[in-house]
Amino acid sequence: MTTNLLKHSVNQYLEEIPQQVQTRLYESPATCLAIYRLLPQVAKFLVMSMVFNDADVSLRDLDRWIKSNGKLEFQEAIKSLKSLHLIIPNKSVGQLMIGLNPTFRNSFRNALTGGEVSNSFGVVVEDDEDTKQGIIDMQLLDEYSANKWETILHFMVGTPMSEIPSNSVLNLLKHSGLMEEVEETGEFKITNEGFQFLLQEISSQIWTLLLQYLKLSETLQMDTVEVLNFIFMLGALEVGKAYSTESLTATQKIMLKDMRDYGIVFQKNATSNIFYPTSLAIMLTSDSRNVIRTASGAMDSVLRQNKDDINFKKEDGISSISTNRKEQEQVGIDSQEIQDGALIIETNFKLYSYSNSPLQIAVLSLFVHLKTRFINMVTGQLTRESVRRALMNGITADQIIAYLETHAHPQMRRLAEAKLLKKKELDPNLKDTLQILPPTVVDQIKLWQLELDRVITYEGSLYSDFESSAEYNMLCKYAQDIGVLLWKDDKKRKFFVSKEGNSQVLDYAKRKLKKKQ
Amino acid sequence: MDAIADPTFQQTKARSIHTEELPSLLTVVLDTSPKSWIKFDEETDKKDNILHVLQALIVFLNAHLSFNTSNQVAVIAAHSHGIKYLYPKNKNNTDSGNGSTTTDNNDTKIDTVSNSNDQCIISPGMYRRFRNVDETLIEEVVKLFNEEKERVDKTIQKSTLPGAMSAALAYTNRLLKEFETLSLKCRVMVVTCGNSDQKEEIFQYIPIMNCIFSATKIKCPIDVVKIGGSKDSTFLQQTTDATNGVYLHVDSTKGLIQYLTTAMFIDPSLRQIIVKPNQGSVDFRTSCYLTGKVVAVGYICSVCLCVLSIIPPGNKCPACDSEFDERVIAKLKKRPVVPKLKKRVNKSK
Repeated sequence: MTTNLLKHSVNQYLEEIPQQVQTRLYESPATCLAIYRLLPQVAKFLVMSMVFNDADVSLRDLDRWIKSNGKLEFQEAIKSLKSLHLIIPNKSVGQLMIGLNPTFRNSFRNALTGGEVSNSFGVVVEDDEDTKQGIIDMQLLDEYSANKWETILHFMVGTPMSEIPSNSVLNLLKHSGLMEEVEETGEFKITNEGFQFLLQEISSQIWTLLLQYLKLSETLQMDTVEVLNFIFMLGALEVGKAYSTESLTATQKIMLKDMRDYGIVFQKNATSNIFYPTSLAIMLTSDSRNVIRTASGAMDSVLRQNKDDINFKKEDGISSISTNRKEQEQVGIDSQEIQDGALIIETNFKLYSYSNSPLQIAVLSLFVHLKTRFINMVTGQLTRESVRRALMNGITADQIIAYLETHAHPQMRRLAEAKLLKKKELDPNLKDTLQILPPTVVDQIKLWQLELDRVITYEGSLYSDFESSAEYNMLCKYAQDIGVLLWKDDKKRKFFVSKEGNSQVLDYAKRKLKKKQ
Repeated sequence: MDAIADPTFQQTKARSIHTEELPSLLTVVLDTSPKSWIKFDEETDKKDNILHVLQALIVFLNAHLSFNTSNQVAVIAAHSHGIKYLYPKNKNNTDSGNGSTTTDNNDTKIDTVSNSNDQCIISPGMYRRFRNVDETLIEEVVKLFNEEKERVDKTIQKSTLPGAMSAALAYTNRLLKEFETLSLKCRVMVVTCGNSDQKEEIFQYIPIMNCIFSATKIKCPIDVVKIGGSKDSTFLQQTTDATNGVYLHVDSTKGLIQYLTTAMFIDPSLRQIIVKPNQGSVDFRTSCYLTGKVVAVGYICSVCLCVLSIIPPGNKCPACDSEFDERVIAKLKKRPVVPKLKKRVNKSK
């Protein structure tokens, strides 16, 4: 899942921060909550079991909670907790005791119990007139964020547009290596990383940009703690509420302007002291798959509305359309939940994607040979050429598969789950994992990638000119036994060992040959 | 054929399936029947045990919400005269089965009371998602307690806990269908208190069994926290055993939050790799349909499988009304006969 990847990259960034800065970060309850959510599942369980326990626990006791098949996850959890300095090992008494970071424990408790949270979750402006009168509602916010974000993505895909993202966005795209400036023309060109970026989920896209923003902010002498606190705070706000800028620091006020450019927050004008978080902000601390209102979904509803408006102007079939809309509203929950661009892929490599957003289609066309476009869907086929084109662009097979998997139609997912369940009933020890996509398709995409690297290079040493076949056999067998032999030719008495094993073989040869002499 | 359909390539992320992050729904069933709580207060010489439980519960709900952004919660109270959804709030405002003419007046009055109340409990700067849940919960609890006050004189009916559990499962089932695309996971947690009368508990057997069946069908573990009381609740213990849940018996409300955040915090997605903290063995015996005694060996109706400790009067099954074969009954009623030893005198002759 790409979400794991995203968490990994955010966690990695956090882990690399020096401990003093981390400790300062943990002073904010909102940040603690967000960091907690980014932890691996097992780590979340362990942290929760220690939050309300003042005494240190021994590592052995924690280990006892985990069954033998989860040891790997346990190790990972402990490792990430340690590198975030959330747990502090304490080796005073014989066995290894660990305790939770006191700053973190305190702030996280405050977050849970609503103790001293001191504005870390934002200050709501209750009597904001615009929200009361319904001037600024969810729809407007969704439209705004979808518009801003899709402008950035469209710009990357290269759709001809009237609107160009602001300078700060362009700067960020350039610095993150997603796009590069062609020197002669001054135009932007998408890079391999950029193609990969397009296939990611929206939450990972936002984070990729924000991590880059963090790196940039460091060079601009902005305080990392304040920047991070602000980002995590945005993730904890409620969409559709007005928030005051008064509690923000100077750095955070500067950031607000940038966040506006990405569509994460909305402000009526640059000097307004009220801001509104959008649904993009909520995605900062959650997986987009689980957020019911996705930005692209919002875009979809906007498109649908526009279409209706046009139809209204035509003034024919008004009644039928309005009933249509009513029906859509009645089944609203279902149609909203199926994410835009849900796709079905068959074993014969045909692909159907229920999407009419130009962006989704543009992304799909990166690796699919699109054939027909209908009113609510596009069909296409995965072909060798189309996939190879994507691979040439630097997109990997795994990324294509991950994209297909995350955008798979719920129906496909359910089918796969049912299949797995049936298999498990027959054989309880089965280690199979959920396969959403047809295995043939997955394998073929991987095979297409393998086609590209037919020549594999290894560094190492060639052994030749042996005096006798016994000598050759002895060394060759030794190399094979320790598993460093890459190639051999018995007739010519030559073999090749990898770089790592060379010294070992050399030592062995010296020992053996010396004895003989 | 399967071999062909299997992938050639090794899945590199093979183990991730254990802890795939999926949102989960936690439905809490809280036993608020005043009788058992007062009894428990008397036993422990402490006041307001239920408030301690509520405090711990609220923090626990927050903890659940913080586990995953899309996690959901629901709280259902089993009070002396029925059940009540504490969260999410019942929009229809239909109170279960009491006079509806006066409720409107009461509601407005109580609203004002609760508003002033919750402001001092819940800090306004709290994370919005927590606050929304907590405020509604407290409001509804205050309403419920006020309603209970009026009912003091009325006779107390039998336990409503199984009913609340059924409601929780029904709610869970509905949300599972609604959020099918999110592949929502679910669990139910029952918080109950004290020793319910042996007799009373027995009549819960069949409804609880039905809950177990429906819970296993929707793969919903039921966890039970029993506070106080000397004996374990047999049937709730069976429930947790059958649904892969956790049974926890705590003696006092002190430090309850620690129990909740460890033993009760095992998310459905973690169940596969975390050891369940279950204590002791489970009593699997059932109860007699007529007398309510817990039986180890008894009679069973061959039609409806109803368990009896005595031969029912009228030779009819009390549950399904099917008539029993008289000969069989006669055989059952027959006292065991000790066969007399035959005299060997004749043989010897």
